[in-house]
Amino acid sequence: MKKILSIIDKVNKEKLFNVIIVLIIIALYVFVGLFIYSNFRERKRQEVADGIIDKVDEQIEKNQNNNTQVSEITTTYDGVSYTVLGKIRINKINIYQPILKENTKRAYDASVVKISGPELNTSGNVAIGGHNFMRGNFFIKINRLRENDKVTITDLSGKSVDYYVYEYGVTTIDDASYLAQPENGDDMIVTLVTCTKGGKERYYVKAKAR
Amino acid sequence: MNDSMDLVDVSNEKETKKKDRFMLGVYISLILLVALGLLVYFFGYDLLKPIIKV
Repeated sequence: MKKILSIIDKVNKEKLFNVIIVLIIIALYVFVGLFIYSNFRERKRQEVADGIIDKVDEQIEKNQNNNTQVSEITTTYDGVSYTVLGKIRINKINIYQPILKENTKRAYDASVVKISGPELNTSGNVAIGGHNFMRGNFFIKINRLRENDKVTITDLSGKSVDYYVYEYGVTTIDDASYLAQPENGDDMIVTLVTCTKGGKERYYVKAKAR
Repeated sequence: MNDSMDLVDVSNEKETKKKDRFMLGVYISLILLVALGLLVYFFGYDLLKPIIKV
């Protein structure tokens, strides 16, 4: 009887071991699949952003040649329309992205978005929000910006303004004081915002034109 | 001597063969995973691009 029990036990252990190995292999397949998918998604996202930037550059050239003032253009990718206001460049953290007008999930998935404020490169506080995708090049690295780091905003007229970081920090989701307009009406401020701690807090960086 | 030879239990051998086949399957699926993964990663983007949503 004991012998039979030990045989059953052995068979069960072996089966359990086999099942665990099969499950591990399935998990590896799923993990590799997800990794590749997220990498491809990231590549496509960058492709869309680069395509939009090309359109922005075309429009800037048109505006400069015809002396017209178009403050936004609409471009379509994969059946989704994006309204573009300009582009942002932050060399320190390798960001070069179009600034979109739509405050929607699709827009946030494609690039960075103007949250509030006046037109780009005019007096006031313009807030620009972006995801901090783990592998993305949106705003994941804005926490590396320090005082006097440069943020360049180019609008569709081709005007580029350099803003220099003077304040950064973390705040709660309910606190929107970083969106407030400056007391000195002539100040040109840009505020970069992203989520932190899984969306429970906001990380912001404020930069001012000199 | 001959009698004892006749009585050799082959059940263990069968078990071992079964185990070997299982382990072979495991190795093949792991090699396939690496090969397919590399192939898709380096050459699959253009193919899969239309179905990837941003």
